Amino acid sequence: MTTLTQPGVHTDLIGKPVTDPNRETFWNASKGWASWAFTLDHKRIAVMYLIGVLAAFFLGGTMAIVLRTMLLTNSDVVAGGLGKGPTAVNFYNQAFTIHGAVMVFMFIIPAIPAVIGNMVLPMQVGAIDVAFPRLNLMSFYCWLVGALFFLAVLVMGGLDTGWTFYTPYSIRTSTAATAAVLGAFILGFSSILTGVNFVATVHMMRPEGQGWFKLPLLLWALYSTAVIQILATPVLAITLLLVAAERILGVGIFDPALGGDPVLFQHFFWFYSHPAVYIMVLPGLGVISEIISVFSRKHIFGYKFIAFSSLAIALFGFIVWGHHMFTSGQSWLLNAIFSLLTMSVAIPSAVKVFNWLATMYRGRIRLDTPMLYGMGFIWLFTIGGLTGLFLAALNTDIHFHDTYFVVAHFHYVMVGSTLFAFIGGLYYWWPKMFGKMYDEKWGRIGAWVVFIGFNLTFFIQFLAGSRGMPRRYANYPDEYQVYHHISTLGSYVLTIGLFIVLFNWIHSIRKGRPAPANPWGANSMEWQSLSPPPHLNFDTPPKVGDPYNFDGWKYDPDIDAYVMRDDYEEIMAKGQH
Amino acid sequence: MNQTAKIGLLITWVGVLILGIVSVIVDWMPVDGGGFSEDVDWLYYFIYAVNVFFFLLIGGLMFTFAICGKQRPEDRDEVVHGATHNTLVEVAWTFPPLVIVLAIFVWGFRGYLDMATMPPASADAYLVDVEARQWGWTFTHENGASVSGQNYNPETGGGAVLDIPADRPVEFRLSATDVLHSLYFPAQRAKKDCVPGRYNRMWVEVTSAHIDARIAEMREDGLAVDEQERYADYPLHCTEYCGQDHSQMNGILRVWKPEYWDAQLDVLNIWNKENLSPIKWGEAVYTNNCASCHSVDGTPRTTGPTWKDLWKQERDGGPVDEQYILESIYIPGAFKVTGFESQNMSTFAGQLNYGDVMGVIAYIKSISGVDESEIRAEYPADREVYDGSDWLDENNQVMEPPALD
Repeated sequence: MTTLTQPGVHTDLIGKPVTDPNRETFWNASKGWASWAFTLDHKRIAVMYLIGVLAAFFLGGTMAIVLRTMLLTNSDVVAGGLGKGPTAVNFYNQAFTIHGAVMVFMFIIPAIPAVIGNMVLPMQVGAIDVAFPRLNLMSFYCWLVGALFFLAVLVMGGLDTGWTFYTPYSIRTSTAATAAVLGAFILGFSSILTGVNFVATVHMMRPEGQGWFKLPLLLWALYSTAVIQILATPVLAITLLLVAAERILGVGIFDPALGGDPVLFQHFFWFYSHPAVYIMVLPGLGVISEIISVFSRKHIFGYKFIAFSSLAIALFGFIVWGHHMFTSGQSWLLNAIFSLLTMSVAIPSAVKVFNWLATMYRGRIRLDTPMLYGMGFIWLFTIGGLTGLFLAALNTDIHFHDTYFVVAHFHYVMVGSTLFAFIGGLYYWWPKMFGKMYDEKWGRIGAWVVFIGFNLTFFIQFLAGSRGMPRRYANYPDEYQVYHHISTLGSYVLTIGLFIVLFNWIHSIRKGRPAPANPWGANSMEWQSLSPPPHLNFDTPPKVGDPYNFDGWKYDPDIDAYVMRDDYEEIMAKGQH
Repeated sequence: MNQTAKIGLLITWVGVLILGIVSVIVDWMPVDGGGFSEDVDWLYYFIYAVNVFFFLLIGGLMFTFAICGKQRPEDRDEVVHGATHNTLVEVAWTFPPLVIVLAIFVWGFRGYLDMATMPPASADAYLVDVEARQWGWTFTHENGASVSGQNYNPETGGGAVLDIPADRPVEFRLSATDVLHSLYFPAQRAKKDCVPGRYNRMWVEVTSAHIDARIAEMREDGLAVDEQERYADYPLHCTEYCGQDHSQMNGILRVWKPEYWDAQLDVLNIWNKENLSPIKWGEAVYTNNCASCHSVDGTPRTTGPTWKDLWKQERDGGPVDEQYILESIYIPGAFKVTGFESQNMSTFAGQLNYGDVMGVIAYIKSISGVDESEIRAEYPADREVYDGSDWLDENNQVMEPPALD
């Protein structure tokens, strides 16, 4: 591990210190609250999104700790003296609902596209902004308004439907389900607008010479994600409106007491929410493709296979929704078809993992914080993906459906994987975004604590679920006590790890060494800009090259960063193979 | 390779080995209570083996590559020029997973067809109606007996107990009165949603051998079992979130050896386990059997005398008491009531058992101005939970009603 002792400096592409402390960056290009509130700059919107989703993550995480603490023991006296009477049980039901809804709709779905995507995507195509900057701002305000609805839910009597809003319970509950579905409806628009922007930007704003296969793989992932966001989210929107209509007007759609069909809701809901699983994880896969290659100092292996596997996952993601409903009473034929189709998703996921391993093979692996998260991601995504096989197969799913096994599985995929990609990606682009380096030692410590805490929390839940512990239980049979003990302990470790990450970031913003333009020797175009970038992203038009050909950059030990070689264009023209 | 790297590699692969061994030792699935356990567990352990193999391979290789190729600070400038793609390799590692997942699908599908295909009529399946509600279960048997409750309470024996016979298929007709619920037998690996507005069906079959194995296992664990080894208990849960007391619907699936089943059916039929008072139970018996001919509010009917204020009325056979009511139900023609000589009531012997009659007696008392506390004190059914054992003889057979003179 290198000790970074030399005085920090902002450097330009050829390593010359940028001495002007008043250099224009997107942070200081304009001042005052209005310059942020009405900004059209994708980087500022990314920063606002970052603050927003981290606040949502804090809220959702608090709920997680509350519910894990309530599950710590199964006796009548639990931490906080809440007991296990009706009040405590209702509180628990609300805690897991708010946890799920906030984490899904306000955190995981927007996290990587809206923060990292907004920050990086236009720069990776060398553009000054996304295609529709005003829509981008509107997307953020949709998120904000949707988030306010959820906050209103908290004071209007809470929500106890589970994040899935299953009917007819969601029609009948006395909690603020109407406000919650309207909030999710509005949050959906934020997601759609981001998707529209990304598709348009990738299609229309690439510079000459940057063909589809010269896009960084993050863009393939974000593009695939955007397609899902555009096509699937409207279905959720309509479904939630129907739920609201049923609640407010008493129109019988999903409640059998009014002549509706509750299983119809599940079809509608999962037609969105299964693809939404890939909205959550695909961007993470993209981030990891970047990190693995850059930190292995080696060209990504199987570029086209990784790129097309993103599209394949997006496509297959649309035709597997019925696997959430194997026990609902839908016909055996539908179940069989959905089970078979679900198996198809395993293939592109496996292809990605194998290609990352092949990229690491014989690489010169730099085990810095982003790479630790990258490897943690491979570990967690492998477990999450492989355990999905149990749930795709029909008769084993009958046993595991709605048990802790499912809870563990999707936390490995959506939290383990996506959260690791999000944190790893933020560490990776942190220097670009904030113009500051973070503390490497604490970055690594944090990564290990988060990794250990996560596995401690969720791996044991596979065992609990295998042995029949149903999910969403405020009380549980005594035989499951030991699993809950371990899981709750793990969640505390995870919390400590996440606070280490947070303090490291705050410390970096306050005390961090000024970041060089390209600390990692990466070759996607955002690294050709200064850290942080100017308002219009690039002072000089960036040069197009293979994003995974790292030959064009030379390490400069004086600044502990990479500088562009003089013959960059020739190296790029020659290619690596 | 330097010393540190060698140690790292050693730790990695020793770790892989240990994880591999641990994964073989850990027994993941819950108790095997028959049903679909065999199929499900086989596929489970096959997928598990696939999981362990690929996970250890991927994890082991990842750490190996990271350790062997760890960048030294002086090598920051080095870029590795390896192969960037190889279609042959891609195809080679795409196909084995494809074959494996297809095999898993086929295996899972075959097992599932078993679950989804209800036993044929020739299989003599026993049918139980399962009605889920917020928050409890009602299990209604073929003879009309119904058991209802929330969490099973091992101390009182109360709560949702679903009795079924062993060695024959048992079919469950699932419904829900309010919101979604789901019936789950972990030990039988069986689960199906209870959906309001439709009937779902599922079935299981448990053998006597499973019962013996379960009893032996519970004994070993120091758990209470039926001393006569007539039945074994398995857990039963609601697995579809249904609101506040979703986690209070943990009942018991009690599987009876076939030789004890008929007796148990009679026990179920004597007193329901909803803890209905004898009055309420009698009212239910009245509603289902007697209401078409007899009124209870004094309304005159041509079909039969009203039951209002019947208790201790003077009749041909003497004042109306327990014996009079019992005889009137089992041998209706014994005494005719003035004004109803032409009516011929048919016997309810064989339809209403002794317990039902006791309920009717209590009900008649209650509509005749007898104080409720007085009625309640007379019947053992007023214990918190009544298991019907008072009506069993030493052979666990239901006692015959007392002989009628």
